[in-house]
Amino acid sequence: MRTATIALLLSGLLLAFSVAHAGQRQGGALQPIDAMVPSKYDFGLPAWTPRPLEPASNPTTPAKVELGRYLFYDTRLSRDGSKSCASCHEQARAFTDGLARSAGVTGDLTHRNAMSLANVAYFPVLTWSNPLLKHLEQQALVPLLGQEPVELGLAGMDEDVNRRLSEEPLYQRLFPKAFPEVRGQMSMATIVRALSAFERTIISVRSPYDRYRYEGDVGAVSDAVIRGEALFFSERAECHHCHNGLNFADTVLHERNRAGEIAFHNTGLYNLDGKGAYPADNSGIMEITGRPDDMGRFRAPSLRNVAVTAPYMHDGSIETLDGVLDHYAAGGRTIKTGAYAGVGHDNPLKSSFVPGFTLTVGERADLLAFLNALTDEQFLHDPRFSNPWLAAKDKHR
Amino acid sequence: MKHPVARGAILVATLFGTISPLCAKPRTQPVEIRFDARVGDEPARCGQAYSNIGSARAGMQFQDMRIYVSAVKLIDAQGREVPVTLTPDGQWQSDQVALLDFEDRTGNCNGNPSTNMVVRGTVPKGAYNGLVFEIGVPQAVNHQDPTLAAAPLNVTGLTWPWRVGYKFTTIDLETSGGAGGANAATGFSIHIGSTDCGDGPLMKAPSAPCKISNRSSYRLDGFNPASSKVVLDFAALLAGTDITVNAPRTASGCMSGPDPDCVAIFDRLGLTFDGKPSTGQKWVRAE
Repeated sequence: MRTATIALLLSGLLLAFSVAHAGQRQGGALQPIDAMVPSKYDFGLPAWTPRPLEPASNPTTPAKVELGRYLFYDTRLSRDGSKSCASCHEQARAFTDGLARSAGVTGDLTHRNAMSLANVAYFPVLTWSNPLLKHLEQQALVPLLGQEPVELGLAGMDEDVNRRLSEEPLYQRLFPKAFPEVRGQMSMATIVRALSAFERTIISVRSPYDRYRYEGDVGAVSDAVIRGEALFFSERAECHHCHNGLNFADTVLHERNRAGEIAFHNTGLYNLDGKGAYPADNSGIMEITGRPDDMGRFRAPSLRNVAVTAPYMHDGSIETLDGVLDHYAAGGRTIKTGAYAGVGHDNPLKSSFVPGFTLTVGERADLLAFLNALTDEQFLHDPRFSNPWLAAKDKHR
Repeated sequence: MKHPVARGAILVATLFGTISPLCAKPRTQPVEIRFDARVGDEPARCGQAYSNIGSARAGMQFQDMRIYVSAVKLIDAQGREVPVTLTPDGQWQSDQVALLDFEDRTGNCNGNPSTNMVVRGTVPKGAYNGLVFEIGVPQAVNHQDPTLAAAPLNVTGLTWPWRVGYKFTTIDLETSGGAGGANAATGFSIHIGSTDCGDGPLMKAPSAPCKISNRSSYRLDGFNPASSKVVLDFAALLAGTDITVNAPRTASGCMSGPDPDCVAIFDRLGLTFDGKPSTGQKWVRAE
């Protein structure tokens, strides 16, 4: 008996050693995502633009960005090989998909509208309504592995994914270049780190409005845009309270604002019960925090490239920018009939910055001209962000 | 002991056994807590069809059945709860948490061929006649980076990325029968994990416990590790639920959320739901 016990203890000890060793082989050199520091990567930004922050443990490198770009456009990162990140994030639409909600590989619809990835590196919390998702490495797991809804559907598919990727000659070269510290290990850990590195480079700061505002090019925009700008930043329209600064959003993080700002708002889009209720499957950050007062609170999206990112709002329930202006002009949307009937204006949880306003026909045109001046054509066609498989000589893709 | 290193260790240890008087007398003993999953009297297995399940007397087949267990304790003769020190094995157990895996990827099941129905550890030498354990992943390890986590928290199918944690209980069912109607569904899932979690350091446990931890605790008096087995009865767990319907605009089945499909399941799990305490768990028993 005593011998057996000692044997067990000793074997346990040896086993623990071997396990620790295996752990080192598999992922010991990749560090957990931790403190955010200014990136040293050359993003090719104009001089006025602050550097994005990145996790100290996942520095952006050219090799990681290249690998991440291939992965972003690779349908092998979905259960049935039918979809990639780019399926819902198309460059020409500023990395949105033009749909109210998007279907995953099993036909499940996402709860919310695919957000633009432009300048995603400048956001300290990600997605419409999850205060816990703070960096891309973590957020990427939601579409990759999530089951409610299933998006790319890779939960439990680790071996299949590793096999598919290891059969790709390009990856046999790119993974070791991007992750020499783990000898090119192909795993969910390296996949999300590379995807995140690529996503951090997707930066849009060259709209006509940027050239006018930050680079002194007064010829870059029309007079209507300048009038629309004045209205946008006025205390009458109140747009700027939630859509300001680098991101045209009140959630922001970069080297000149390392503490970051995070805000979630209820804009009176719904009021199902007169007490502020939103549809049950889209209750805003209340879903995460459990606080009743968080009902209907969503992150203000960036307005960069907003003209090409229709439909609008967290659930894609407004089709045009004109419609969005109607919602805010009314101080909250009224839905007259159906399951979602209610007067958003009277939502008791609504932000105080959505009181409503009136616009003349000319003012509305000016405001729309301003919003259209936020479209960065160079970004929408930047070859650095395009599908690399189309150019690659790989016969499989 | 499948591990070749471990097998070697036994040989080495046996040699050492000849000089064992030099070693201190061990004060612990190994313990194995055996589990089984059932549907009523039948073993719960992939590839099997079950009938008369829940309030709609529905048919069902499993797609997944995996459960994290932690805070395992034995009850000694004085009635004290004595913690079991889990033995890390690089696959099923860390020193914090063990994974019970009843799916073998046959039939319609997802996952992998290997199964695990036992929790292994050590306890101080003594006699024990009761068991206490939780279904759950301890808060300290529930919110880490899952891409770097050690086994058994390295299973992508059990991560819960939207909630930044793990599903403590992952039961996925294909269902059949029922009355049909607008809310008819052909699948039912039970995904239980912590919700209403607060802020914390990046990829680490929140500074405060999640407001709704959803860790269920079980106490089985008279449990003798040598002869008893813990039985998890899915028929009993689902007895109060119609698994052929899904409440509109809610997750499929019960995914811990504010969802009418969760009411009876939480009660039978032994968990408080929407502020209403359970009337007592009804699906775990000793045998």
